[in-house]
Amino acid sequence: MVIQAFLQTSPSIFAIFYHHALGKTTAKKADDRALSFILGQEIAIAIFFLAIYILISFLSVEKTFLDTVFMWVLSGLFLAEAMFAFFCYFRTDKKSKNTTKLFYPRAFVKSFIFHIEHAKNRSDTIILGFVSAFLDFIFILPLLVISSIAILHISSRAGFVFIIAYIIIATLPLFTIRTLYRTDHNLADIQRFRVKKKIFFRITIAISYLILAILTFISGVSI
Amino acid sequence: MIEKEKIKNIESTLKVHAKALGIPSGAAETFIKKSLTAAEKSLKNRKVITNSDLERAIFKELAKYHKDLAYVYENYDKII
Repeated sequence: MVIQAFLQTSPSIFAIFYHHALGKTTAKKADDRALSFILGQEIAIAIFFLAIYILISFLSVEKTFLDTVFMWVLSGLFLAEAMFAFFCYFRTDKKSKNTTKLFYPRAFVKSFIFHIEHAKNRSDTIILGFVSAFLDFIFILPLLVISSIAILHISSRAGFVFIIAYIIIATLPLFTIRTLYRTDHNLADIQRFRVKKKIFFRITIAISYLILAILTFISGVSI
Repeated sequence: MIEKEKIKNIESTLKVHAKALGIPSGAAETFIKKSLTAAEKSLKNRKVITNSDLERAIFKELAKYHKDLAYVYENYDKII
C-alpha cells in the first residue's frame, strides 16, 4: 500500500486540478471539489480492491489455484513493473530536465488536461478522481492481487481494517497536496519539489516492485 | 505576425494561473499585458514564429515580474 502512495499519476492530476480550480473559482469551492476528487479516487480503489478480492477468494476455493506457477507469474509481473518503473516511468526530455512528464502519450495528456480544466461540478470531479485511479491500474493490479492473497489468511475484521488502511495510505499524497495548497503553497512549489525528488520516486518504485518480485518468487518456491 | 486570438487565449490562461497563485488581479493584469507586448515586440523581426518561440519569449518576459507564474506557464503541460 505504501508503494501506491509513491505512484505519480494521481498526485500530478490532482495538483493541476486544484490549481485550475483555484484559478477559476473561490478557495472554498476549489477545496470542496478537491475533496470530491479524493472521494472519487477512494471509491475507485475500494471497487478495484473488492473486485479483485472477490475474484481471488472465489478462485482460491480450488486449492490448486494459488500454486507455485501462479506466484511465479505474479513475481514476473512485479519484475516487469520494476523494470518499467525504472526505465520508462518518467519520460526523458532533452530540451528541459525540469519536467515530470510521465509515460503516457503526449496527445492523451493534452486532452486529459483539457478535461481536468473543464470539470465544473462535484460529479465531474468524482469521475475525474475515479479515472485518475484507473490510469494507474497497471501498477495497482499486482499490488491488489498480493494484498487480496494476504487478506485471505486473516480474519474478516482485520481484512476490513486492512482495506481501509490501504485506501487511506494510497490517497495520502492527495491529502498532503491539499494541505500544501491550504497553507499558501502553490503549483510552482509542488512541481519544484516533484522535479527535485523525481529520481528518488523512480528508484523507490522500482526497488519496491523488485523486492515484491523476489518475495513472491520465494513464496512460490515454498508452496 | 502573431494572431490576436492566440494572444487573447494566452492572456486568459495566464490570468487563471495568476489567480491560482494568489497574485492580486490588478497587478497580474498589468504585468501580463506588459509581458505579452514585450514578447510580441521581441519576435517582430522574425519571419516564422513557432509556438515554442512564442512560449519562450513570454516566459522570459514573465520571469522579470513573477517567477512562479513564469514557471507554471512554462511547465504546465509537463507535469503529467
